[in-house]
Order: sequence, then structure tokens, then C-alpha cells
Amino acid sequence: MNYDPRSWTVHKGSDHPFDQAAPAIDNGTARPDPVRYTSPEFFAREWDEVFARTWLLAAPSSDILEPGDWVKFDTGPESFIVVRQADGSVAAHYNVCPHRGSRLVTGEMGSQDSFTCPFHSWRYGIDGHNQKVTDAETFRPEVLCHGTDLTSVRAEEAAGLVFINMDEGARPLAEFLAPILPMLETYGMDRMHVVQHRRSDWAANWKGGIDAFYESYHLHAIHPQTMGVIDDRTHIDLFPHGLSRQFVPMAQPNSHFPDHERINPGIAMLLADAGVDPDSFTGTAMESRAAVAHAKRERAARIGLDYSHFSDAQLTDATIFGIFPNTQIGCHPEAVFLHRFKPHAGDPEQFTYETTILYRHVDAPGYGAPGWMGLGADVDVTGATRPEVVHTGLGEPPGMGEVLDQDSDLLPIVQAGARSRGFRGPLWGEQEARLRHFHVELDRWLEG
Amino acid sequence: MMKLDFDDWNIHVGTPHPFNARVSPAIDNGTGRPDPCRYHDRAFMREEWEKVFAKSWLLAGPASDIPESGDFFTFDVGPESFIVVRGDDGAIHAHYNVCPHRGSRLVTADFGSLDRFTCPFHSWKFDLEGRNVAVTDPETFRPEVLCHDRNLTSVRCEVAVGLVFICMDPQIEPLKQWLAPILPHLELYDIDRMYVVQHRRSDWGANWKGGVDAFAEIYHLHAVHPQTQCLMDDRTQIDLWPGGLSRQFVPFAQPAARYGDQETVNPGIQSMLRDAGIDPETYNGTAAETRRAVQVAKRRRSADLGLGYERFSDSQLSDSVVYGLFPNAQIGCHPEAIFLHRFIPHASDPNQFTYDTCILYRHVDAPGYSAPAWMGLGEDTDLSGATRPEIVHTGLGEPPGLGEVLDQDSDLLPIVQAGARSRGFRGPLWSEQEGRLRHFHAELDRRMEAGV
Repeated sequence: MNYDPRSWTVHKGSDHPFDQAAPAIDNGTARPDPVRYTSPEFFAREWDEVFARTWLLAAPSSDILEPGDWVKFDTGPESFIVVRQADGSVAAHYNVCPHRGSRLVTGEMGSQDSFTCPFHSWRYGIDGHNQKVTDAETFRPEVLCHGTDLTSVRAEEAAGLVFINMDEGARPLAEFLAPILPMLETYGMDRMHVVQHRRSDWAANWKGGIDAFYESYHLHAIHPQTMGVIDDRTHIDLFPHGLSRQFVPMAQPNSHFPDHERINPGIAMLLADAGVDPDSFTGTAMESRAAVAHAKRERAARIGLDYSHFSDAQLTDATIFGIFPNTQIGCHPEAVFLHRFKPHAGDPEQFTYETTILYRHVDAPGYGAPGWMGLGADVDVTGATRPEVVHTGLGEPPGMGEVLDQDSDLLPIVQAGARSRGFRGPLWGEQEARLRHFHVELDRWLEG
Repeated sequence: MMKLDFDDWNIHVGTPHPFNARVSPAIDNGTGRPDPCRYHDRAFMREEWEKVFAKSWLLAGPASDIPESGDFFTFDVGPESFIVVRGDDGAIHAHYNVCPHRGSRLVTADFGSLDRFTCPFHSWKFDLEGRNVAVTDPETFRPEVLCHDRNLTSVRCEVAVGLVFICMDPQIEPLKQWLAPILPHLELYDIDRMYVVQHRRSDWGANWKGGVDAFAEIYHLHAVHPQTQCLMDDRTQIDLWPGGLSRQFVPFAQPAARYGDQETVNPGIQSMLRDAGIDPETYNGTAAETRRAVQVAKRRRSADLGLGYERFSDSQLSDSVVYGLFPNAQIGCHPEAIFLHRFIPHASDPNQFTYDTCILYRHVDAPGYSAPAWMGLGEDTDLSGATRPEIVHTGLGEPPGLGEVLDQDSDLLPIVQAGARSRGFRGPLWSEQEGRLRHFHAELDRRMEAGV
């Protein structure tokens, strides 16, 4: 392996602009104090200085298409109602009744023209304005003068995703996302819909989750079963303000995998997903990635999908974007994965991993979700039914396949090490450059 | 329509009675909006313990639980535990449930009867008054060590209306002086002649003041407990007294004004008629007239059985008359029984409390007399007072098993607590229907602003 992963030839022969490397950012070689993973004080400061001031991915726009459609977005100690307005814009309100503080909604999502508090039936319009104070004549006017509307926060949309921000003064979402927005837009997420939504509680700091999902260096050790089909030679780009991307080549054996010739069962599955018959395929395992790209491009032309804006790497690989602070988006032409690492309400040593698969339905023979995405036979990929959110508790296997079960087993033992007085802080390789980039941005906000 | 001025509500029916009179002058607690950090902040909770709980009379339990010398119960509150015991002298004493040797709890049971207390750790012994009667192997202690004092540490303990209160502050004013405004009211119920017939405790995911708040108003009935609207009115009378004392009438056997059908004698109203000895089949009044009918029937039954209801107003016979005792006790009074509600702060977590509720019943061995059905005392409950029921404790997230209304409250309180912790919540907006909440919080603020 090379010292600079940007010189790894994951885009061999490509002159597609999407594959071009971003200008390098040097985040140095320091070792941060591991207190960031365990300290309640650090955790509280992080909430106030980072989460309360940054754009947080709340939901896909396709979950709230019509006026009155809403989703509940919980993060840390807060809960928000994100709701489509009559004019087509999106609003977000604290899910808190100003009367006594009760939550207004407890379901995950719904569609209503008003919200009624379950405690004393005060009612609010979808714009957050108070419509009814029950028995208003039993309030002294000075009490109601304190304000009876919901408290709203900033809510903006980009690339088919809704973000919220608790900081009134935050710069516009599109400005923050500018370096990666045109890339995200190539996937047409506004034309995708949720086909799977899972949430699971893990016994680690939320940044332990970010760290693990930000690098493919651990694949050979934690997920050896992936070595025949996912390469850990990668391409990493860093952008200002904690944004990043990484290519994870698929349909190509790992650098640590001994057999780069034979079409192993994993490679055979990826070929079949692209419409290539593995039995008649004459290439090697290392040649499968190019064959998959070629086949997908052919299929797109046949069924009228416009793949011209995608590079070959986008067709085969997972192209993963990192959005500070706690979102990662794994992109494929067929589907995107929204990964969120949500801090616990009060415990720095717990987080909730939330993952949503957004799928672009195409009603054409031979087109479907790739098998490795693990969408069961009972999944309605047409988008007609929005699946329920499945939530698994602490210590339960997340039930999202072998790879994630392995991660959820591992993270608590990494967390335990972060707590040790024998641990002096992480030593990040250049394969882990996105971790360093993320933590440098975190420090910048905390020092803010 | 409800009025801001409660004098216009005039909720009483029946014969005018001085008990029902409004307290004057009315106390004005203003219109401020308190900082919601009081519901979740750990520093606030620690200060609250020192300035409020450590310096207030706290309802420890009914005296009828400890009638004989040596009878004791434990009273746990926040980080503390007390032994409340009837001494050889017949007086009730309260001691920290803490051995002065190494700090061990002396008793772990809820109740019992003992001649003396023996520490489970090194078997030091103490008499009922808390005096040390045995140091194991005293010859192995240097005399200067034992001179530090080896008796239990006692706290103030006084009894009023059959209820035992303790206070950690030796300087506190006498219990009866503090309770003076409501003591004559509570005395009417002869609580000293009642027995515990049900005792439940459940842990809830909210601050203890969230519990106090929810139980101190009936504004939420229509939204959280809609099934009560057919038989419980939410038009109310609220009275406030200095020192954080309050009362509220909750009219029973009368549909709420919000309830559509004021005529039909619905099943809830029927049950209340039966409780008072009226056959709902032959009753020919409306639902709205039932409250008065219940009052008349109960008064007639009292005359038949010699229950002495002359001392009660008509409203006291039909309604729930609920007293609020600062900081964390509420007492719901009925001629047949009273409910002791306590909102016990967690040892350290501001987001948890324990709701403790005791039903004390006055046993009358007469045909047709029993506990009203709505109290939910099961068939297997011994109403005679011969057996003291065990305390049933349910944990966080479990339904308290106290009936539908309390299950609804226990579901609701954690979602109110969650909102209180939000940076989007700026503090509660209390109506005059929530006058007791404002009165309670004003007293809390007064104590918090005072020095320790």
C-alpha cells in the first residue's frame, strides 16, 4: 500500500470529472485526548457548541411530500416535528408544547392539518402558530403574553433531504453543502423513497460510530467475509467544514485477499445483480468491477435510465459522503444509504445508529435492488408503502446483516478502551484521514 | 363557560356550609414563567434537597401503621431513609436509618415490630428511642472513638390528624402551627380511625415536581382522561394558604361541562349512585342532578348508621376534596376513605421520582356500607383493617397497575419531562385552573431564594 491513498489507482483510466481528487487538506498527525469519547462535560459542550449550531439531517423529503405530512426527528435530548407547509416549504418545530412542555407527537410520522397536545389539548397549525388555548378565559392575559406558539427552528432542503438547524444564525444549508451538493444531486434522491428504516442503540459514543463507518481499513479484520468482494484500496477526498467522500470499490477483491483470479460467490452475486451471467463470464475477479460498470451502463441505455452523469466508479462502488457532524450517505445509482449516528439524551457512552435505505424504483425487467443490500422478499420496493421504523435496544443484534452485527459487537469494546487510563488517544493512518478530518472540525467548533 | 374569576364558578350544590367558603384574602402569585431547569438540572435538585426537603415537614406515614410500642415503618425519601417507631413511652420517634458505627442501614424491611434495632454489619444495638444499648467488643475501641457518640441520630417527628411527619431541621416550626389553616378541615375525616387498605409505589420517568404538577390540577382531565368526563366535573374551586398549602374541590357524580350529554345516567354515574345506596334503575333524575342525589343519600345513610356526617358539607360527601401540603404530599379526602399521594424525589436523578399512594379506609360494619367502587379496591382487599397490606412496587416503565387513570398519567409524565429538558421550552404557562401549581412553585422559589 501507498502512503498517500489518493495515489491508489481506484479510478484507473478514468477521466470523469466526478472521480477527480479534491485539493488536499493537511490535518496533521496529532493524537487527540480520548476524553472526547467518555466525558459527560465534553458531551454537554458538544451538544451546545456542535449539535445546537450545525445542520442535522432530519429526514428524506420523500417522507413528507404533501402539506401536513410530518416526521418526528429525535436527536440527543431533543425532538422536532418536521412538517411540509401549504406553500411546499418545510418547517421544523420543537416537539414541545409551550404550555407545560409536553411532547405534541409521539408517533414516528403522520399527516395532519394541526397538532393537538395530549396534556390539555392546546392546538397548533402546521406552521406552529397557536390555534387554540383550552379555556383561554382561565388564563391571565400576562401569562399568555409570554408566547403560545411553538418554537420553530431552521429547516432547509437540498438534494432531496431535509436538514434542521437550532441556530437561527447558521449559514444556509446549500452554502454549507456546496462542495458536495452537485455530486449528491447526481443520484436524484428526490425521486427515491424509503424502503427500509432501522434504528439500533449501541453502547458507544456517537463518534465511535462515525469513526468505524468512516474507514474501510478494518474490513479485513472485522468483516473478513467481505474481502472477496470489497476492496480496501480507496480514494478519499476532504472538503472544508468537515465534509468528505470516499470510494469503496466493490466487485473487486481486497488487497489482503489471496485469490484475485477466481470468481468467488460474492463476485458472482455482484455480476448477477448487474445482469452478467457469472457462469459465462470469462474474466478474473479483478476484472469484474469493470464488467459490472459496463453491464450497468448497457442496462441503463436499454431501459432508458440516464447514467451519463455517473462515472464508472459511481456505478460499481459505494461512494460515501461524510456530512459533519453525524451523517454519512452511501451512494449507488440504484439506492442511497442514510447513516446517522445520534448522540444519546444524556449518556456519552451510548448512541443510536439509524439507517435508512432510499431506493429509486424502476419498473423494468432485470432491474432490481442489488442483492447485497439485503432487502427481503417482503420489501415493497415500489414506494407505495412507507415501511415502519424497526428499533432494536442496547445489546440486541441490530438485525441488519452480518457486517453490522459485527460492528455493533465491536464498538462497545472500542468504547471500553477509550475509557481506559492506559489509552492516550487514537493513532490514525492515512486510510483513516476522514476520521482526523472530522475530529479536527469538531475541535474547531468546540474552540469556536 | 369557565371564568377567570373563580368566584363565579360556584361549584357547590346543596346546603351552604362554612367548610365550602373561599379563603380570603386570595393570594396572588402573579403571572411569571419559571425557568424549566427546575425540572431537570442536577445542581437545582441538590440545592432543592438542602433548602426544601431537609427543611420541611415530610409526610412519613399513617400513625395507624404503628399502634404498639416497637412497631416501626421505614420512610425513604431522596437519598435518605428513616425509621419511624412507636417508643416504649407511646410517643413516635424518627431516626436516620443509619448505624453510627459504619453507616449501614439498620432495617431494610418496610415495616416490623422490634424491641430494639440490631445493625446487620457488626450487631451494634439500639433501643426504640435510638440510644445505643450494645457496642460489640467495646474493649477493642479506644474510648475517645466511642465518645464521638454512638446513638442513632434522630430527627423531629410530630403527629397530626393521625399522620406522622418528620423533619430533618431541628429548628422547624411545630407541625400543627404550619398546618393550622387546614388542620380543622383534615380533622373532620377522623384519619386516626382509618387503616391502610392499599399501598402502592411506582417509579416514573419524570421529576417529582412533574408529579406534583399533574396531580394539582384537573385542567388535563378532558385530554388525558376523557373517560372521566361523564362523571367528574373539571369546574373547580381552588383555595390557597401561606406556606404552600392548598385545597381543591373536584366535583364527582356530575358530568364535566365539556361533556355532551348532561341527561343520560351513564354507567359511571350509575356506579356512583349505587355507591351511595341509590338504585340507578329507579333513579329518575338526570346525570347533572346526580351529585345532589348522592349527597342526600349519603346523609340519610349517615343518619341510619350514626356516621356523624353533620360535620361535613354536602360537597364533602360527593366530591373529592384534595389538600396540597408543601412540598410533596397531596391528600384526597372522602368521608369513607382518604388517599395519601406522595411524590418522592429520586436519590440523585432529577428525571425520576417515585409515586407513593396509600388508601386509608374507615371501616364501618353495616349492611350497604362499603368503599365506593371507583376506588378500585379489589375483592381480596381486607377492609376491616385486620391485615396491613404489603407495599406493591412497580419499576420504571412498568404500568403502575393503579387503574386506567394512573396508567395514563404515568405514560404522559415522561413525555412532559422530555419537553421540559428541551431548549425549545421556556417554562410553563399556568392558567388560573393551575393556581395550585403556581402557588407550589412560588413557595419553592421562596425557599430556594432563602439561605440554607
